[in-house]
Order: sequence, then C-alpha cells, then structure tokens
Amino acid sequence: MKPYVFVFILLLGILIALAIGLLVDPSEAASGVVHPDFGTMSQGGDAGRHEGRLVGGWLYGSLQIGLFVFLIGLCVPSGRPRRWLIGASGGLYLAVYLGLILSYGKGLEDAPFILGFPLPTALLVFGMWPVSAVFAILYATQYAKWIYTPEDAKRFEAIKERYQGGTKDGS
Amino acid sequence: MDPNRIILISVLVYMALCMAIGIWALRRTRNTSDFFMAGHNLGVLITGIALFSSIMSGFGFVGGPGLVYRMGISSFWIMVTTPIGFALAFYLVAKRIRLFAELRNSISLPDIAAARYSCHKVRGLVAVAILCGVIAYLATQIRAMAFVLQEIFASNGVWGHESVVFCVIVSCTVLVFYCVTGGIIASVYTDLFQGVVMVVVAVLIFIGALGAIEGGMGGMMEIILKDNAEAAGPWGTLGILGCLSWFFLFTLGVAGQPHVVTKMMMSRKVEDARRTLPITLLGYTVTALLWIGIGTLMRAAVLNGSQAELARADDAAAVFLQSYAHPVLAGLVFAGLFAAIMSTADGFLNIGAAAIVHDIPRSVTGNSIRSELLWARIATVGLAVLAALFALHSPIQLIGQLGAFGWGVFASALVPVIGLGLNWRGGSRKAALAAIVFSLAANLGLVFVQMAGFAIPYGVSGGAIALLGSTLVFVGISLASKRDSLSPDIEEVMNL
Repeated sequence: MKPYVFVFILLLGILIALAIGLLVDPSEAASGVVHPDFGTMSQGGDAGRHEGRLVGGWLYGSLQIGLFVFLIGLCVPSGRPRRWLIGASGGLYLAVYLGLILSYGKGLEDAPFILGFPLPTALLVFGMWPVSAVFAILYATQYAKWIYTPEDAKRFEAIKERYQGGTKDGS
Repeated sequence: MDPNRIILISVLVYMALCMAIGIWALRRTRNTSDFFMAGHNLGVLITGIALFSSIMSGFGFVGGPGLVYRMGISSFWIMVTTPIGFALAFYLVAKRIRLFAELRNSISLPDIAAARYSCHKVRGLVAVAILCGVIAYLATQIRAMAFVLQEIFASNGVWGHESVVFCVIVSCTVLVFYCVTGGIIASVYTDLFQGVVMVVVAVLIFIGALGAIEGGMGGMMEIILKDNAEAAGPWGTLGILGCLSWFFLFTLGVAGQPHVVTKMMMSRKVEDARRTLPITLLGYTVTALLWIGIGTLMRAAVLNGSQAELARADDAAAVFLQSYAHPVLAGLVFAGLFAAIMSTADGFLNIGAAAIVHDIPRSVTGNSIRSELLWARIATVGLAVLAALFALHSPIQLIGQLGAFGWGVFASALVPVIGLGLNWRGGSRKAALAAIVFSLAANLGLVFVQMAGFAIPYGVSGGAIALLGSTLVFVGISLASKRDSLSPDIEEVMNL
C-alpha cells in the first residue's frame, strides 16, 4: 500500500471517529455548563457525561497519534539505521494515552494524586507531555543519520552547482 | 514607590528597549532579503528562541490562563501537545524549506509554495490565506496589548478604562516602529530579548503561584476537584471531544504556522535545525508554566473564596499580578506579557507585509514591484492599522477564541500544502489549490455560522474540522491526480 493511501485512511478514520462521537446523544454537560455560583467559570457535570463516548474518544485520539507518528516516520527514508525507534516511541505514546483513558474510566473522585494532580490528569501532564518530547530528542540525536546525512549535504551542493544561474528569483 | 508606578515604568522601559533594537537593526537592513529573511543568517540560539516566543503569544499569556480559569484542565491539551507539534513541524518542514530557500533565494512562504508546485496561482492563494490569518491573529495580539496597557494606565490613574483606542495606538506605534525600521532582524532580536524575559517571568510566576495556596498544586487541584471533579480531570469542563479536537489542531497545526516555519528558512545552515528544536521546546515548556500556574491558582482562589470572582476570564493574569505578585515581579511580568504579545505580532507584520508587496504582485503580474523594501515598510504600517481596526470592532469577545481562529486558518490552509506537500512528490498543484480554497471557505463559513448563534456541538474546534477537511481534500485529490511535472532542481531536492 502506498504510504499516502494509508495517511488518507487514517484521516478518514479520524473523521469517522469524530462523526460517531458527535452522533452519540449528548448529556446535559457534555461540553460544560455555566458554574452555578460563578458566571465566568464553567463546570463539567459528572463523569457520566462521557458514558458511551469513551471508547470513541480513545479511538479518535489513538488514530490522531497514529497519524502524527506515521507522518514523522515518512520523513525518515527507509533503510536508515534505528528507524524502528520511531515506531517504538509511537507505541509508548499510545500506551500512555490508553492508560489515561482507562484511569479516567475508573473515576476521578477516588483517583490517587501524583505530583499534585489526580492520576488521569497526571498521566496527561507527566506522561503524554514528556513522552511526546521523545520525538524531538530523536530528531536532535539522529539528525545526521535520519534527516540530513553528510551524503545528502554533498548531493545538495551538487544540485546547487548544477542549477546555479538557473531560476534564482525566489520561486 | 507605588507598585503600579513600578509596573508602568517597567513597561515603558521595555518599550524603549524594543525601539532601540529597531534603530540598531535599521543599519543591518539593506534589502528585502534582510527585511524578510534576516539574510538567511540566523544562529541556532536566536532561531530557537524566536520560534518559541513567536508561538507563546498573547493567546498564551493572557488567553491561556483565562481558559484554565474558565474550563479547568481542558486547555492543558494545547500545551501538552506542543512538543509533538514542534517535533512534527521540524520533521515535516525544517530541512526541506531551508533547502528550497537556499536553492531559490526565497524570501517568503508563498515563494516556497510557488517553487514546490511550479505555480503562481498557488503562490497567490497561499499569500491570501496568510493575509486572512495574519489579520485575525494580529488583531488578537493588538487587542491583548491594548487590554494590558489599559489596565496599567487605569491603575496608575493616567487614563480610565475608556482609553482603549489610545492604548491600541500606543502599543501599535511601538510595534510598528521597530518592525518598519528593522524588519525581521529587529523582530528576531526583540524575540530573543522577549524570549529571555518570558522564561524568567514564567519561572518566577509559577513558583509564586505554587506558594499562594496551601499545598501548592495539590492544594489547588483539591479545591477544584471538590467543586467539580470533571474540571480537575484530563478533559476539564470542555469534555473529551473538544479537548481531542484541540489535540489535533495544535499538534498538526504547528507545521502550518507561517510565523514559525518562515523562521526555519532564516537559519544559517540546514544542519542547525537539530539544535534549534531542543531550544525551542525547552523555552516553550518553561513559559507554559505561567499559563498553568496563573490559571489554576485563579480558579482555585475564586472557588475557595480568597479571591472575588473575575469580571472576565481573560482578567486572570492581570488580577493575579495585582493580588499575588511583588510589585517588581509584577512589573517584570507585565513587560513579559508585552514581550509575548509583541514577539508574535512582529512576525505576523513581517509575513503579512511580504504577502502584500512581494507575493500577491508576483502571482498577478509575475514580477516583483519596484522599490520593494520601501513598499514593505509602508505595507507594514498599513497592515497594523487594518488589524487594529479589526481588533477594535471584532465581534468575537474572548481573546483565546480569536487566537484559536487565527491558528485554525493557518493550520488548515498551510499544513497540507506546505507540511505534506514539501515531503510528498505526489502532492499535486490542483490539490493544493483545492485545499486552500476549502480551508478559507470552511473557516469563514464556521465563523459566520457561530456569529449567527449556532455552536459546534461538544465544543469541537472549528479550526480542527477545517484542518481535517483540507488535509483530506489535499491527500484525496492528489491520490486521484496524475503527477505534475516539476522543475528539475526541485525534483532532485524532493528526493533528498
């Protein structure tokens, strides 16, 4: 399968997951209601507002993560060393997101606090945030092997030399 | 000294420094390449800081804490997603845009699009999309600047709250002065100065916020959770679909922000990108602490009764500074607020001016206009005036929402055409044109629908829907089209 056919399928999947989420009957506080005491704040009702939407939400988020990681993978030509690290990092990212969904499903009121946040929120702040930075670390450390190798630089210099004096008007 | 006077003096000193940088940069701006691209000669540190300070705007420093105050954890999704957003933008864009710029001496993003697709129509439409987004986003920044300045003047008894037009004029004058004199060189060097101010301020504020309520972050979250558990949960009050639509928009969307990707063209060497990304990420992450700290504290403080309810959610930052910060720190923070806002606004003025004097004329006539540098300076002034009028008369009330709208316009128009198109040889010019037209129609349509009183269900972001739609249009039409012919040099660079 061509890579961009797969990108198209992922995008369609995201669209379908969103559409399904929108079609589930809304609870009263599905996207928040005005706080009864403070008009400039909102409240989110109870966890029941996400009943029937959590699996769809997991799918919606997971497909997005899949798309982002796949696009990153497409920017690293095949055959370059340790390319599997991108897939492994994507797997870790998906696992943290699944953990967030599962812990949220168990309820917030009794959730343990980790570094100042209830567990599902802690997984967002201390899980998804740093894990996604792994892709940046890979970019910085593997740049000369994956993104722009010394051979690429030589080829680019040759291209510039060959076309010097051609179109140099900005476009 | 009166604390409010310290704040006023800090902000005036900050503005004077920005203007001084503008005068310094004037000598270094000799042609349009210097004015728009800093001569493709920026170092790693400057590029890295300019990148994060461009993103962390008035939306982040004023609108961000307001969103946390209003919705709880929901807006954390905008910050938490940024590391993968920046990483994705660097993977997709940084190398290739820098190669294209060097190969063709490009000075704007529409130049790159025209080179990639061998098409002046694509150049023109990219320029139009940039202009639409610039005016909306610039209006957000101007509004935020005027809003902050208004508070400072009012608390000093200089003018009352009715002085908003005057505040717009003062803040725009400083901004336009250094942008007109020094172009992008002034912009990135003020970004460097502004970025450092923002980092220092964010750390101090976060520490201050943690100490304001017993138990620190845990204490604040317990208060919020006790009032409404969902507000302290990962989806905040907005809910799962709204948060995940932000996740999509703010992760994929970074690759389409012209004030970000244009700076990737300005680096001295292609290889600089590897060191630029960590600097950008670190800077953004640290400054995001301000967003979290102020927003969470203000929500908790109002809920436990130690603070009166805010008149507007966007007052969160200003009220925090007046109520909790030491006057000297408050002065520094107000300077930091201006830094955040101006560092984004100057980038918009620059790319907007490029679209007006460089790209649109070339897409229509095929040629550059005479005295391009002079006209660039005139266009910068004109654009600022237009955006200021839009800021004063825009019907959208919340700064955060206007910022999200501007982000959505850029993301949906440029992610497919630039982010995907620079990497995928199969991306066609027909698809690029269709994606941009779809993006403009979808974003404008959604604004009109919302102005008519209809809301998108579940708080789903209109920008996310437009981005998803335009990307599907681009990929779908490209897959169904025959391959376009490209210039041989571009063809070869696409294979690197």
